[in-house]
Amino acid sequence: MSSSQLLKGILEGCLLAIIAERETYGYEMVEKLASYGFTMVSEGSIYPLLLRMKKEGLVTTTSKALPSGGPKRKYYQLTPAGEKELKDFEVRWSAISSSVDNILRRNQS
Amino acid sequence: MTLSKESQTFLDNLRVYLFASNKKEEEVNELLEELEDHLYEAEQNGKSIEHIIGKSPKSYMKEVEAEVDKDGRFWILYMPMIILGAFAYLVMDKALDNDRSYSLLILIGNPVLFIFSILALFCLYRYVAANKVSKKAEILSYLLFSIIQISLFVGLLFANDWKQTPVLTVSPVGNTALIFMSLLVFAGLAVFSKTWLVIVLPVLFFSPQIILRYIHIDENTELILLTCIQSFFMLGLAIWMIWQLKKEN
Repeated sequence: MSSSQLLKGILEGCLLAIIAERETYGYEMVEKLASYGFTMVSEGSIYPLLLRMKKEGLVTTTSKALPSGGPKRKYYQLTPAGEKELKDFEVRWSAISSSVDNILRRNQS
Repeated sequence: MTLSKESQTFLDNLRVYLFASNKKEEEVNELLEELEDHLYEAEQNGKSIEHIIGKSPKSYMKEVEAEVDKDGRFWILYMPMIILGAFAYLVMDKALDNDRSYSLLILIGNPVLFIFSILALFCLYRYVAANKVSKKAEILSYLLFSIIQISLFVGLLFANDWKQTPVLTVSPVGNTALIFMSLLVFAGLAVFSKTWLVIVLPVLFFSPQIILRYIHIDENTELILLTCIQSFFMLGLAIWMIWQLKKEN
């Protein structure tokens, strides 16, 4: 369970970064994640996560009608709290990734 | 917008699962809409449902369950209403028998059995929705559930005959007031639920009793016969309501 907890924390940071680029919806986020090679989680896991992020006030949503006239689609935007969380994540991540890199590299040599 | 049968079944099951977990309806609807949109687009691009929800529907359901808020109204609004309705039925039931005494066991036993039945039914719904259960096993488990439920209510009646508990006897005037209040409860529930069902139901429910009174049969047989008729009736109703709910969505 702990490895998936870790993955979710990372996924949350990535979603924040993707939403920060421009407002977007679920399927588009997944495609973007996949284009960067982030395919470790099943696509549907972003929705419970997005719901939590919304409750924590990191993102807001607006519903927009599709051009084709189908059901409404939910778009996500970052709040100031979300932007701050993204900055914190960037700091945390660079610390973690560089230290993990160092450890792995030392073991190789 | 049409989804594959597999995706639609999964969405239906997820809805039942969250409903039986007392989750906030608005949140559930929002999430399901989003997921439906996603599944549709994924299918257009030739992705399998496994790609979206992972290998186990159950663990995905649990993942969603953890993030959706509970509906607090279940315990403070719906449950009391169900119990109030159950008492109104009990009062009408007794009134038709000209019986004004309520034993402690009946007064406590009925609501306890009601709450137990509802919670057990919710557990069953959750299990059937989250696990790959064959149609045969599903029907069998509902049948088994109804048999257990009926046995419990019949058991309560027998226990009441067998073990004496303090009896509360209501005065004739008090009883009339109780009947009047029960009618008010039925009317109130009908207005609240916006359906005539709550009014039609007592009529359907109590008519076998009135009919049976004019057919002279042994008292114990009558009791068992009535309980069986009424229990099957209630079970049929519960299944009908869930079926309606599923159809609506």
